[in-house]
Amino acid sequence: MHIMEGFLPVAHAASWGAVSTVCVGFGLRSIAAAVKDKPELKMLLGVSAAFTFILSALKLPSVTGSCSHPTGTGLGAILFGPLAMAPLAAIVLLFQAILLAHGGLTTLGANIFSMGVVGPLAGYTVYNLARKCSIPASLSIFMAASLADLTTYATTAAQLAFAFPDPLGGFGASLVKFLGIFAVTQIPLAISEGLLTVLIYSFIQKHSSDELASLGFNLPGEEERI
Amino acid sequence: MYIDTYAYSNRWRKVHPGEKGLFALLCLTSALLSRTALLPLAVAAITITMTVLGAGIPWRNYLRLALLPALFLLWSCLALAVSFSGGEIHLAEIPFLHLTISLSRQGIDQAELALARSLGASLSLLFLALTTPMTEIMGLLRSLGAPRLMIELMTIAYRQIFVFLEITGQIRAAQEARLGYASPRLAMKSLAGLTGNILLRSLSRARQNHQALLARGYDSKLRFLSPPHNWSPRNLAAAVAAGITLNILALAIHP
Repeated sequence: MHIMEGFLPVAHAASWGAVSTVCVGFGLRSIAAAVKDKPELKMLLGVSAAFTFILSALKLPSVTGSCSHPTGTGLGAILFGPLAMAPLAAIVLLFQAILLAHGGLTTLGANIFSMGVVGPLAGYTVYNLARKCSIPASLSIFMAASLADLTTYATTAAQLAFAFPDPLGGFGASLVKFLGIFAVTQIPLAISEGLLTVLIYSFIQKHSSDELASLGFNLPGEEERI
Repeated sequence: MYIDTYAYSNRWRKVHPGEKGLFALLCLTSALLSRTALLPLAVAAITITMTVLGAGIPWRNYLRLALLPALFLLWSCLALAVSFSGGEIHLAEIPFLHLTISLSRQGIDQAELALARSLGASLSLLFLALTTPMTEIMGLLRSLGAPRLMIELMTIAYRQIFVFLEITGQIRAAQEARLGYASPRLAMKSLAGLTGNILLRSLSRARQNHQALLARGYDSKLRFLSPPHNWSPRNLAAAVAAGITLNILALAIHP
């Protein structure tokens, strides 16, 4: 879920932009360090950004019949780690704003923060915690992907509530309102993206876990196959 | 991807991207800065005129492109106008949760302003998107001093998008021909196969591209040439004058 172009007041747009610039900068530095080690990574990340953009053009079957698309934040965070996701999200969101008229330039910062920082961090943390508690791989992936989506949506709702507090109830009432209104599309989306990510993961593991391992991805071992 | 096609084929394709970018950006800020609903609507009208009459985008297709964000925007503004904590106009009551859905005067004003601002800003961006190809926007970002790594990743991604779009279309047609989307369950399975396949292809594609680069003397820098454009003093002056006037109006007009 993206905040539309021009929807946020100037002060909010500028501060989210500043926060996200810092996050993207950190991400770029970590990517640059990794690329020095493994030059192939640059091409891989660029191609993955294209892959994420294509994902967003696919429609998911969802319970309410609303139009929602997978975001790939959870999968990306598991494969590349949360730091690399902020620059990738920045690229994908810019492309969506310009090529699909979805999202915008002035709200880019707010959207990068929810989709490229909070979502991946939540997904990555949940995935690693779940793996440590020896929860089966498929369940960990489901939890990571759906929680990445849910936290993204909750962050967006909070950003909107900050910008437009309820005239009578203030921030809290406004937050509940936005959470409630967007729940119609976002909760089914989180569940279907979770399921889809599990299916994708088992698909790529069945067909090319060797190829992924050679690139340094830490997929769960043979005996843990989904 | 109508937008991309028009970006390459519109009447203002040869105009310097900096001029179009500057104009779009100034329109954007004026829509954002204004405190009344009227000015952003004027910005919207100006950008529509520029896009349809100036750059020559067919108005039917323009409407279709603008409709989707507009509908999304309406839905978001509805969320702004509605309040659960009481307002002047009661709409409905949810009996079990003791909630009343109502509209407040303040909420409506807020929604009205947000709707107008957002419409003006979105259409300004759409103007830039429809007249300037992505590669030239990336060239602009490069000359504005965006990090080299970021631009390189963007360029790789942009080139790859179209390869993937074609593959996606082919796989999807094949799956549909075999009733792969006949039920939600099947659709989920087909979609996973489709995405998984594209992901695998992207991994092998990345490796091939890297090897191709190595074969051509890759030294960890990707260099791109921007096509030459001439600044036109007349266009530049018009864009800056119009943009700055709008911004001054935005700051000057109080509700």
